[in-house]
Amino acid sequence: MSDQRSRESQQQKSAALEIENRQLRNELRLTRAERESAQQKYFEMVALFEAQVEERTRQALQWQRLLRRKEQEVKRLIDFSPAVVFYQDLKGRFRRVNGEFARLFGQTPPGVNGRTYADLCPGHPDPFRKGLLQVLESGQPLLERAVSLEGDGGPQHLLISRIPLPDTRGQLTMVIGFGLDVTRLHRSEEAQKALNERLEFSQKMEALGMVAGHVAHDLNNMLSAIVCYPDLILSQLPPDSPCRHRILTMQRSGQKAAAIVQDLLTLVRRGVPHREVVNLNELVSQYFASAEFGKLKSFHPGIEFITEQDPDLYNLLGSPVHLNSTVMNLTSNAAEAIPGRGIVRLTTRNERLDTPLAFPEFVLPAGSYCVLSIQDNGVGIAPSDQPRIFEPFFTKKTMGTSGTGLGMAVVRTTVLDHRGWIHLSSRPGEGTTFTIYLPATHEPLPRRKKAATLAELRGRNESVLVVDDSPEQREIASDVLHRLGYEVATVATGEDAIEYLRHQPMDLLMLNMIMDPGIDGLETYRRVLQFRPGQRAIIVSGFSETDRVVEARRLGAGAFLKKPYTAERLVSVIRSELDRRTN
Amino acid sequence: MSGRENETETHEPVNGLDRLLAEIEEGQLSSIRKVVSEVIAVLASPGATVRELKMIIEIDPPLAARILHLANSAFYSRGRSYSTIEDAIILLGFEATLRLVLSQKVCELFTQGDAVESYSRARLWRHSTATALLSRLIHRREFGVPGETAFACGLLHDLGLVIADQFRHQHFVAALKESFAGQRPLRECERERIGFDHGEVVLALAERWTLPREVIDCFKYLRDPFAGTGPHTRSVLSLFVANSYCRAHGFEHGGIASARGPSLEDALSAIQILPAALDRLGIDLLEEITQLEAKGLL
Repeated sequence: MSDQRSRESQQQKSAALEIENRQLRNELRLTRAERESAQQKYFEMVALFEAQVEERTRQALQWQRLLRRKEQEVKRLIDFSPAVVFYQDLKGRFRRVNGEFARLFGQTPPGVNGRTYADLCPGHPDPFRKGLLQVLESGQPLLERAVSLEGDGGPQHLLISRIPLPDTRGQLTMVIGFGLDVTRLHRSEEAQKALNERLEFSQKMEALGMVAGHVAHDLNNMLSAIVCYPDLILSQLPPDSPCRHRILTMQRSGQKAAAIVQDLLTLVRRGVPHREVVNLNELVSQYFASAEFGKLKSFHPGIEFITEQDPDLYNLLGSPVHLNSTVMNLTSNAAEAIPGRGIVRLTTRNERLDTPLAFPEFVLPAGSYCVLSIQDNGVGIAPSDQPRIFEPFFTKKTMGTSGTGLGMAVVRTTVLDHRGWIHLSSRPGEGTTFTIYLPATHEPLPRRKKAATLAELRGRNESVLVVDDSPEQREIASDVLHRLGYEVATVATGEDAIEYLRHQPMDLLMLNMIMDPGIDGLETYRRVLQFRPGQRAIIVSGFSETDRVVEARRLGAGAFLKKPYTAERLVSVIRSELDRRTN
Repeated sequence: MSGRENETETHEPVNGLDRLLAEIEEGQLSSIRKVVSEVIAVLASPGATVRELKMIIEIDPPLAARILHLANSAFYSRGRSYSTIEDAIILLGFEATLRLVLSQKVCELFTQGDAVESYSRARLWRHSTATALLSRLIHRREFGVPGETAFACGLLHDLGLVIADQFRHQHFVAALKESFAGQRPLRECERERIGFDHGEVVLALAERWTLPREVIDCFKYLRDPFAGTGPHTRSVLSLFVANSYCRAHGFEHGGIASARGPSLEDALSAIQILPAALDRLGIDLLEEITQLEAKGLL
């Protein structure tokens, strides 16, 4: 029984083992199959990874190529940009710059990279610093109106746009600057400003000219009495009369007032200067011999005045009065520029220009020139003042003899009216030289007559018709001429003069050029010549010699007499004209 | 939208399986439909690739997170870190990952709901998992085939109960109580209360989700495995055996009464499995369940 149970037990165990074996074999077979499948899937996955890696590598290479191309693009843009480009770090070091930027410092980019402005321009204030700090502080782009750099060719002006450049972590570590060189624009703006100033000045001068034009005529008429009568009074006074000095002072004051009017007229070009052949040596010598120069010397006892004159100096065509005024003004200014002891040197010389001579503001044409230099070793003129010293009413220092602030402006205008040029050269503390170039002429100097005395100028019963719209002028002229032995008649208009002459011939007409109302002196003379050809006449005017005066002289009128005139001048001109015709 | 919100308060039977299916499409189940359908398709396909599985997981971020979390758990990772789904699949194994995906997704449905007497969804999940594992073991050890579809069938065969509980809760609870009280088969009570039983629900769902024919046949003939004569009879009988064995050996789903069906012995005989062989598989089942519990998966 127990054996049977044992056998059954053994059989059951055996069956169980068989079942287990069979199940495990199945499991093993499946597991192997699954392992193979897993292996296959593993390889498949590896292939998948490899494909992904390959794809990502390809993309990375593509990005790398793209980045390299972009980098080259940016480099080209920066290197070949006509604008200046620079990268600046937090410490102000230039980290990357293009050629245009480096050129500002006379360098190449490697010479600038890694350096600060202080390294590049030691001792100069850094014009980039303020903008850099502003961008670093605000983190915002900034457009700077202008940054000025001191370059070899003068100041350079840049218009700079700055952009903050954060790093990959978002930290602001760099600022990019793009700049345009606006120096030309800046200069153009400066030139525009200067032009505007000149326009403004011109408008001011025009207004001044209008005023001067209106008053000059009347003023000169009024001054005539002050300037003219003293000669007559003096001729009647005993030589030791105590009044003689006062009357002379009164006459000089009148003459100075007349000079101011003349300055104004010169400045506003209301008159064309009378031209005659003159020699600068003569003018300089006359000035050095004049009472005005004596007075100047007495005011500046420590100054040595030296003239160095070229004995073969060319003549020139010009206005002796204006040129004399020029010499006087410049000499006086030179003396005033020397505080104590010093030297004022007037030099004349010839200069033949085979090619035009270029000055910063003017080109002098080729030709022969008389050159006058007035040099002093005084305080000099500050560079900032130099462009302005020829402006009227420039009052940095006292200039000119008239005391009106017009002296230097008149000098310049006179030189320009003579088609010349005046050049200023000055260094503060070392002195100033004015050099005047005036076109030369080959015409010889006229022979100078010895000055006649009033007695020699007396009339010889010649008749003179004074034609002037001003009663005072008629009275002065009539009085002077009558006292000196001339027969005088007066009329107030050109029309009256014509009428008068139709019935009564006269030896000489003293014609005022501008008359109101009625026809002027030229028209009067034209009409008179129609019925009295060869009628002798002189022209009188409160203005300088105008085109109408020139025309009248062309028709046959003699000398031009400018108001206000002295009695001596008046009879001298009349006598001269009468004698010229007689001879 | 929850199925409970649409439920009527009457005790009248509610007919209309189509209506229930429409509600399922709009509810929580719709979110697992895609994953479950695709995983089962991959399980049934011997030529499935890692890429297919990876894509199933990647498009479901919560699922991907759970798979990565599992791969990085102390049990699997052994101190290493896995950050990609590919790494996780290599670590866990292709088929194991598939099963995990399916389990994790289906498990979502079994984590809610209250217990009704001895019935609870948690117990139901334990029963479903055991049935799935045993069904797979039968296929592997006895038939020498992978049995992955059998695993899916085991996991889903009682899904009808969860759906009825979810979407027809009151009627289902009433049916359940009635079944317990009268020791009547639950299916009968469900048909009376709801208009259809949970077996019909899971079958309709499988057809609606166009799951493989083998799965549909398993659900269709589970209560009467000898009725089917098609190519999947063995699978049906295996599921029947696994279900019966689990209910009889500590993995019951709450003592729900069933209609009398064929005997386990007849089914075993039909698929030519000795009872001793089934007992042997039962031992291995226990071992696997123990391991799952150790991994925190059950």
